[in-house]
Amino acid sequence: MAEVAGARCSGGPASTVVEGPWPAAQAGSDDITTTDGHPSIDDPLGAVLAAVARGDEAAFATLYDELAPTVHGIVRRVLRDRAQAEEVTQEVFVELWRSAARHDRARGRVRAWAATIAHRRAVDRVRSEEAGRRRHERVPATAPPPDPTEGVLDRLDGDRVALALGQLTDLQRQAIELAYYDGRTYREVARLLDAPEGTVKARIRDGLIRLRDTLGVTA
Amino acid sequence: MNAHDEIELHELAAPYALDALDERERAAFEAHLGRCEGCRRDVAELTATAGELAGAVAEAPPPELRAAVLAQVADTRQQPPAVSSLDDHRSRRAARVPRLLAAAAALVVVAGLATAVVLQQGRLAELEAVEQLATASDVTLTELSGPGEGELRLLSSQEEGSVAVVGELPPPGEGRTYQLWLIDDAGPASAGTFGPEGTRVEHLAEGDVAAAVAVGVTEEPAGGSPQPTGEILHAGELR
Repeated sequence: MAEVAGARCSGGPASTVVEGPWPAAQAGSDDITTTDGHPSIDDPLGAVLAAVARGDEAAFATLYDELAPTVHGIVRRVLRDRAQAEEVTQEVFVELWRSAARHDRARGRVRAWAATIAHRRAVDRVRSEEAGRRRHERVPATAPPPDPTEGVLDRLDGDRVALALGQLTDLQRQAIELAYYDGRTYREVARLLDAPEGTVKARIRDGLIRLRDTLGVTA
Repeated sequence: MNAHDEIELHELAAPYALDALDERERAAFEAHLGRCEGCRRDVAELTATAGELAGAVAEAPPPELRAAVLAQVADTRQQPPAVSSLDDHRSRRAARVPRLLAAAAALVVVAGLATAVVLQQGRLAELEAVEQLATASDVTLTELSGPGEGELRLLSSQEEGSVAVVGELPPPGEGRTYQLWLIDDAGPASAGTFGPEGTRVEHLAEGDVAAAVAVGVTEEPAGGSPQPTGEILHAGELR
């Protein structure tokens, strides 16, 4: 293969390759290959996901029970429509099942991975809608309303994040809320806030970095 | 691309982590990620943080959803794991004696495309895999036939355990994608969605190829469908 030219950014092409042997789910294998060669040790869902990657449907049911509020919550928040939120939630869980073996466990919590897939799917769905009538609604200026959560862990998680969001400047929080929870592009956010696009990008970045530090996220 | 463009692309990492790029910028940034390790690290970190944000709005779905999800999963094939490093891959290939097929045109196309386009991360891996398939000692090449426009060839190797389609297709309709199907006794199963780059197609079949006796290509809504909804545009048998 010819080399791909890189200009200013450092490093080279990524280095994962899809290979057989087919079919999927190698029975009896305990090893999920990661780029570091070791699984994340303080994620209780890591072992569950490893079992799911081997085709264990009971483990998947456990994964569903653990992650359903997280997945459904963000999908519902972005889409707002109840029926579509349920459809997309189902699609997300099917995707988690399909790609369980592909997930690199050294790269952070399973819950965050599931939330990433959920958010992306919800955003893709909301942007594919014709009307986009939601786009013309007034911009909410405050933090996302706390929705009822089920389960103590979810509540603690939610409190933690709400607290972390409270540590941001109003401008950072507003940019992240519009972009993430409302599923808008940064250009739309810039238009809505009548702010330069560069400023919005910077607020999003600075806000995320601050959240990273407050929440103690490692990737 | 000049330095100014590179800096601008790098600034897209944070909105990318929040899915706050439109389709065009997302595609451009993903292409950039394939050749910028700094941005890949940046994105990994920002994405991990973004993944925590969902926790603020957690809300359980209706209980009926659980059974529906479990039922669909029971009928869904899983993807195989990704294997570690490009170096391992390269040394395995070097140990193999590459043999070119009589239909050299397909292989020239597969090897030549890498010089022409900016490749994104997963795409690079897929193209490497297709090239490996094309140089396998037992690879077979079949022309697909059907009412669709364009021209596709089917590559298949038992040794590699993989199947790919390569060729030329017109762009799919607005909001649509091509989808490859592996057909066995139970019917068609999705082998992934794909689109031409320009008009070039190289797509490695996803899923269980061992049991498949034929392949088909249809046009579907973006994101693909669980079963084919469009007419079969190109099809061929696997030997």
